[in-house]
Amino acid sequence: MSNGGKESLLEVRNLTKRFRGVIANQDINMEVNSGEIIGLIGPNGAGKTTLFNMITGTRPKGASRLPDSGAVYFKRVKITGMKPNSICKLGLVRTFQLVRIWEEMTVLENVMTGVFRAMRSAREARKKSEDLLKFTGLYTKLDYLGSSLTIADKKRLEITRALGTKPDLLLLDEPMAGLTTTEINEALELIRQIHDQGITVLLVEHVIEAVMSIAHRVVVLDNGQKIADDRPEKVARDKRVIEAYLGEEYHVKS
Amino acid sequence: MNRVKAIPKWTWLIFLVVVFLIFPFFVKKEFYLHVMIMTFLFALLAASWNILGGFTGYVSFGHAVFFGLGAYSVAVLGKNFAVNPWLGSITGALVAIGLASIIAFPSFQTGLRAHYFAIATWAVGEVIRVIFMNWMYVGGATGIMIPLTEPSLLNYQYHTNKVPYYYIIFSFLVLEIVLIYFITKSRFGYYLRAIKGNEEAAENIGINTTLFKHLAYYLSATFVAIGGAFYAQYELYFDPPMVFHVGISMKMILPAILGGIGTICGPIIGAAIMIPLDQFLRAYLGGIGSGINFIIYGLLVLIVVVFKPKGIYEFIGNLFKKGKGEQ
Repeated sequence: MSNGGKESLLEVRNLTKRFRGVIANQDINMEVNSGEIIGLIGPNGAGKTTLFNMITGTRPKGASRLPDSGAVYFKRVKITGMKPNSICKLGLVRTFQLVRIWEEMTVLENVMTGVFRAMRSAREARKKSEDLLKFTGLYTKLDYLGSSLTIADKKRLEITRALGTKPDLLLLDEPMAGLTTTEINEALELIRQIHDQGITVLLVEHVIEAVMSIAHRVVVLDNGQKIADDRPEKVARDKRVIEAYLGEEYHVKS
Repeated sequence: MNRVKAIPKWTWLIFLVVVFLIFPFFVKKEFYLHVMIMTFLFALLAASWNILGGFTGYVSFGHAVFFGLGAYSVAVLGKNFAVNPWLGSITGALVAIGLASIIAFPSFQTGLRAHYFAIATWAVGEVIRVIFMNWMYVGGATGIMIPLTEPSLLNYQYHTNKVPYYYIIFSFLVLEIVLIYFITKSRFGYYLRAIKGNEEAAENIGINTTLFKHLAYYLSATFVAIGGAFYAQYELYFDPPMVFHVGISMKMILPAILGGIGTICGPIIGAAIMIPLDQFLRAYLGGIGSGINFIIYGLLVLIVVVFKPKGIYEFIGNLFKKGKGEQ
């Protein structure tokens, strides 16, 4: 394709989603190329989560998983209308804004359940899960019940579980919300490490500094529309973005 | 930390199996054998119910319907077509799966949530009971008798001798527990627990939740139908209220809750407490006692839910865990 030889992994084409009268996503076009880290930002109610739901096939409360118009392609396959489990099998997996780990299962069991997508044998799944937990730094808490973890660890566990499904594209829905500064830095480090493993990352985040420091490209939504899609430093200087979202001028740390 | 007590769990299990195997050699009183048989039967049923209600989190209030279908399948096939009862049991399991799929497709395919599913199963159970009450071909309200044949394992009937029934139902129970044990260690078991934990998360992690709910339901229904067929061969006569009554469903649910929902041993422990209690109350109170057993169940469940919400098994399990160093 035209973008410097990079392969397009995810394509959103003319996507519109309405909830009764409200337009959550209006004619959105965006692309994620293999090997990128993309930040998706926007004020509350801008339509970020709806877009995430439309991409992953998650059914929004009381509404259909189908968009009103437009389509989503993953690895050139049209995934609009597919169920999340089929989309996951293609290599696209997400985490949730409000963590959805299995509280009654241990850390290891949580990850194994994800790993089982790729292998059937419990013994192999256990080994693979232990490796993943070492990678994300939760290995020492392997026996803990999901419910006993801190928020930061729960988010980390959800990411580990998602990695277990062997994704090519990982969608993170506000992985840093509610974390302390130290924890945010640790989360950023983890995302970099995941990216180094060859996994493409699409990140919805409210902590702007974090997004700006890690994303190769930032997509900005406002009122359901895409208003910017560029390198972080350019987006930070974009008049419309500043007006709509930041309120005041934002300076990128050099 | 020293892990001195790593073996006891298994030794206890083997000890229990041996005790149950030699039990009939020492206890000759028919009534006690009967109590044991009923306990094994309802342990089997409660453990089956637990596959769907406990592990997967989909509570069914209508599992008696599969019990009844299992019983009626052997009886009708045996009486009208002289079909061997073992074959009848298998047919009963298939009929149960058939009915389960009729309930499952509209419920699971549309993503009916667990509490609505509970109501749906209860309603279907009642409808089927009423149908059998009025269906003359299967004996209607007067019930149906299993044709008497030579007592033998092949014919699945022994008339007055209860000992063979004791061993048959005990084998079924052991087989089922072993199978459930392997399920909990396998991908299937993890998936069921994931569905119970958070269905949306499960779906997003690549689990075809619909498919696995179907499988759990059918497996559960199969065992209950096999239990129903056993009951028919054991009693040799029954009518619709004996097999389709909501009370039968309750006797599958309550032991599981009492013992520990979603655990392997919970339903068995629950049945071991409730069923003998039920049998002795009936024996000693006779006609006046109808209903008292449910009052006592209610109290028991109330106590457990308040003090040990995860069931008696959790309490016993903690005793065993003492040896393992916990953080």
